[in-house]
Parts: sequence; C-alpha cells; structure tokens
Amino acid sequence: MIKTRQFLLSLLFFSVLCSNSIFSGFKVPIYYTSSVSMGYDNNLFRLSDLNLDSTLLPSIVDASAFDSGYITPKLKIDYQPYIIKDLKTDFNFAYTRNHYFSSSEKSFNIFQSQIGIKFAPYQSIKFSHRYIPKYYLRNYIDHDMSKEQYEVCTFSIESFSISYSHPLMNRNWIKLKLNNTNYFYNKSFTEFDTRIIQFEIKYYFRFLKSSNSIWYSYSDGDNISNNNGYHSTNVNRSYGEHNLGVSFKKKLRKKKTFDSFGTSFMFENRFYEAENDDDLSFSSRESALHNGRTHNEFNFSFWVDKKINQINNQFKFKYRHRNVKSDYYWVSDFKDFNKFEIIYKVSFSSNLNILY
Amino acid sequence: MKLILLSILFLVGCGTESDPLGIKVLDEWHYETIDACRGIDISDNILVAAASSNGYFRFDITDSDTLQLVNHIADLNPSTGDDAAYDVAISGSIKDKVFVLDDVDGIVVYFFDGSPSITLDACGNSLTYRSLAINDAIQDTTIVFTLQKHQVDGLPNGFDQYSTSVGVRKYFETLDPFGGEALFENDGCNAAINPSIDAMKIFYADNLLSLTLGGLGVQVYKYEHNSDDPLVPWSSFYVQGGEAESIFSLGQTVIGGFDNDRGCYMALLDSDGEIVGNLTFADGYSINAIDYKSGVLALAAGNDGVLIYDWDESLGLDLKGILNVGDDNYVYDVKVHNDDIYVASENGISIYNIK
Repeated sequence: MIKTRQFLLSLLFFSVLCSNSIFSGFKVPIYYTSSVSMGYDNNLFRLSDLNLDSTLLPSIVDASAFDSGYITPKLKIDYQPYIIKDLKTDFNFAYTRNHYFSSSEKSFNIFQSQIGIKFAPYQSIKFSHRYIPKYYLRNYIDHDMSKEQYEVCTFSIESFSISYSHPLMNRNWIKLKLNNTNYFYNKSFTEFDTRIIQFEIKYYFRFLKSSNSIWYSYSDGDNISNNNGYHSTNVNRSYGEHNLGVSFKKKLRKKKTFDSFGTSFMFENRFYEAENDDDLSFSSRESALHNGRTHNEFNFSFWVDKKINQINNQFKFKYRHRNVKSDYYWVSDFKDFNKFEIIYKVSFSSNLNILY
Repeated sequence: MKLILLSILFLVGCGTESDPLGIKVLDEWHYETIDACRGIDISDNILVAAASSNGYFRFDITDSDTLQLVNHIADLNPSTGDDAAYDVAISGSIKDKVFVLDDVDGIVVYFFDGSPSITLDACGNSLTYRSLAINDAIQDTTIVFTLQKHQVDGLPNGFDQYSTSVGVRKYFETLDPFGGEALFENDGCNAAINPSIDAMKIFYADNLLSLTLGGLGVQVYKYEHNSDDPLVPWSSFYVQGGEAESIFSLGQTVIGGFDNDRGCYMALLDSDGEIVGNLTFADGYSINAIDYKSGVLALAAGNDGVLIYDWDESLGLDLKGILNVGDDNYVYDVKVHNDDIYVASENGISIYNIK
C-alpha cells in the first residue's frame, strides 16, 4: 500500500512537472510551523474509577502510572504552488509525535497530509489523509487465545476525507465533509476492526466580533470483522454516533494580557447496534458489553493565546467525561471515565527560502 | 487529470488489517444426544458416542463432516434400570466393534456387522469398570485393558482392599465346533497390576499403558505381550497442586492433563522409561481429555472449551487458540479427525471444521 501511494505521488508530481509554464508556479515560499506542547494528562488510559482502584491495574496498562506528563513536538510544512490555472493549490504535511513520560507504549506518531484547491475566498475543496500507525489502548484478554492472560491492544487509525467549503453572506461559510476512517487492531483484537463513514456539516460564523463555529456529524461504524469465523467476532460491535459541537474564539484588539481566547464544547452520543434480547443474560460477558450499550460523552476545552517575540504561546485546559448506559449495571463501572489535560504550547512559523 | 490523481491518491491507504490469532471455524454441526455426551471415539468413517443415560450412538461420518445416525441403543442393559454409557472405544481388529463402558453395569461390545452383542465378564472379580483402552496392534487379536474398582470381598490374591486393578484380556476369533459360527472369545482377564483407588483413566498406545492416579499424577507401564507380568512399571510424573485427570501418549511421549487449573505435563521418555525432557503447558486450565492427529493437539478443558495447539511431536508446541463451544457448556471429550474437531459435551456432539 505504501509503495502504491509513493507511486501515485510520483505520478502526480511528474504530471505537474510536465505541465506548461509550470516552473514559475512552483517558485513560491515553503512555510513551516514548528511547535512543542507540554502537558499533563490525569487519566492517560481513560480508565474508570473501578479500574483505577483495581488490583489488576498493573496487568491492564503497560505504564509506571496511569497519569502522565507528555511532550508533543510537531512540524508542519505548507506549500502553495500554482499548479492548476487560476486556482490556488495548497499542500500541507505535518508530523506529530506524542511522547508520554510514564508510558513509552502509549507514545504515538501522527502523519497528516492535505491537498487543497481554492476556487475563491471561502470556497475550496480539500483532500486529507491522517495516519497513526500504532496507538496503544491498554491491555485486554484475547478471548480467542486465553481466559486470563492480558495482551497489548493496539490499533492503527487511518482516515481519508474530502471536504468542500462554500461562502455564505457576511464572511460566514459552511463546510461539508465526508470522512472514511479505518481502525485496524493488532492480531489479538481484530474483532474490533471498524470502518467508520462520517458525514459532517460545519457552519463558521462571526458573532460579537468573534470567530465561531457550530457543527454536527453522524458516524456509521461498521464492525467489518463481525462473524468472520473467530469466536470473538460473534458479537456485533457496529455503532452509530451523533456529534454536536460549538466553538468560540475571540481576538482581543487592545493590548491585554492575552491576544485571544477561545472555548469549545462537544457532545457525542454513541449507540451500539447489537440489541439482542437473547443475550440479556449474564452468560456472555462479551455479548453483554456491547448489547444495547450507549454512551454520552462531553468534551470541553478552554484556551488563551499570547504572542511574544514572534513565538505563539498557548495555555489550554481540556476536560472529557463519558457516561455509559447499559442493561447491565457493571458495564458502566468499567466504561465510564473522566479525564482532564493541561497543555502549554509554543509555536513558531517561518518560511524556507529555497524555491524563490 | 490531476484532480483524478489526487482523488486516487487519497483512496490508497497505508494501514492493513492484521491476520487474527485464534481458531477460525469454517463450519460447525451439532447433534443433541439428550443426555450429556461423556465420550467419543472415531475410526475411519465411524463415530461412536457414550451419551450417559441415553446410551450409545453410532454415526457414519463419511459424508463430509456431518453425522448420519446408524445405530442408537438407549438401554445398554435391559435387565438393569440405571445403566449409563460413560466411555466408548472402537476396535478394528478381527472385526469392527465398539466397547461401551457403563461404570456400574459393565462393558458391552457391539459389533458393527450386527452380530449379537456380548458383555464382558468380571475382571479380578469386579464389574465396576472405570476406564478401558484397546490395543489393536497385534494381528487377529484385540487386547482390551480395563480399569476396575475393588471393594472388600472377592479380591484377587494379594490385592489391596478398596483399590483398583488393570486387567488385560486377549480376544481372538474361533470357530464354534458345534455350529461352525465364528466366536469372539477371550482367554480370561488377567488383573495385572493393583493401583490405588485413585486410578481413574487408562490409555494405551505404542506399547505404553498410562493411568491417572489422582494427586500422584500419571503412572506409565510398558506392555510386554505374552509375558506373565505384561505391565512393567516404566515411568511416572505428577504436577504439584493438581490431580491427573486425563492422559495421552504417542511413541515415547506421554502427556498428562491435570485438574485444578494445572494444565498439562508432557514427558519425553528414553528407552529405559527415564524422563529426558519435559514441558508444562495449558496452565490455568483443567484438562479432561487429550487427543492428537496430524499436527493438531486438542485438549478438552471443561467449561473453558477446547484448546488447540500446533504440535510437531517434539517438546515444543504453539497455541493456536481456544475453540469456544458455547457458554454454559462443559466439554468431556475431544477427538481430532481430518480438519475437524469432534467435541463431546454437556450439549451433545459438536463438529467444528477449523482452518
């Protein structure tokens, strides 16, 4: 797959080079933004209170602690050559590394790329790709192989999206986005493999001299490994999910302690599709875990920004709460969680003087 | 063109699905035996089953993995009311037949050609059988090993009270001098050894007879055909904290299955019966039965289903996975046959065609 991708990239690059009068269009600055975030996460593995108090905690996480400080360096390259006549193209590449001090297993990399074509102000089409090769969730029992031995549970996340933005009156605009995300688990937990199709509509608007947005999305998570012959796949883990969010960002015009501040709030409602009355017994723990389960999740964040000597500084606070409902009283004991993060981020932007 | 290329580019991913671990069941069949199926045996295209108080079943399994009922005898011993089949063993020597063990009412032999069944006589004055094993390796002879329990009276000379014995019988075919019919005769049962009351199961293969002896583990005897003392003490092993529950042997390798979640102990014996290598595995499981064929080792683990290993007949094996046989089900016996796993359980007989 990676070779195919490289081939297509080469083909695209070659076709661009062969175009007439193209070289002048390439002579534009390459912008980069580098940033480093330092933060603290009080519940790294999203554990419930019951899990946090459990004597099994050393078995279910590969970490010296369930909370952790972390550091997140990020490099983003932005290149906007004129490839297609009268259209502005925008290539973005970003690499992010999340490194947790109490768990190297939990640390992960993110590769992002995006190609955007701008037709007019607030009107563009974007193709995006995001890839996390390995994300450690925690340890679980692989019921295909053991009844009590915990195994590392990891997965890769890869998403492709296409979005279209369209201007509305008064510098407001709307974005429609179609997203396809694959969650592919390691060989011990392929029963959780899921393909998610998400549709999102997001409205950006100005109100009280602030930049705001409100969005709604619906996701259809298809448990693609369901019933493939392995016992653990007998449970259908497919789900639907509603997301509703709102964000607010205000720039402070006069000289203040901060340049801007913002906040966002997101509500998520997920409902698992398995609704089998026959499974309403305690005979199968795995069946019970997903049967008729729903959860509501609340995400809240607040941040302030301040630019000092060309360096952007940001303080951010994030809070997340998940409330699980199930016909089985014990499911919420294992799946509810709360967590918060405190983050300080510094970022610097400039350009590379190599193409012009 | 460029837009199309862009679109294709973003549809080509980096991530791929992993090959899952575990047992992939391609197909499965179930047969309800009404009462719990305590034991099964397979030979060529025949499967026989001991279905507790529902007696004995014989199936034809020629037709790709399904069970075609050939014979069902619900009442093994019409003269008694509490008969129950607990174990079965097929013998192909002389003529095809099955030995059906009822732990109270003796052992009945059913011939596949429809000949009248026979009931085995007492061995060491006991009809209370616990286990049986067959040696078909000697031409025109069926050697039957039986494990029976003794009480106080009628013991063979020198045997302990409240003990067990392993008897050896040689069956052969003779012509009835009066009627000219072929008779299935034996030369009487020789109660050869006198283990303690803890002995519960016996297994025979490749000149080794093994028996489970509770907390004392597994005792192995070498079988010497036509000797006055045909069972020679050969080797033994045990696992701390577990009682031997099942046994299997292949060549000079003996595997004991233990209860109390102690798993299995594999012992490799040399030509003098000394253990020259060993391996413990399946820790965390209680093992009721063991079977092996063509690289697949299957362990019946009661409520935990069936554990499947890849085994190259050496002191090393790889866990392939757990074959789940359903919640609230208890596995008593297991057999490997071709690509199928045959399971005898509380719910009856199940066949799993595995990858």
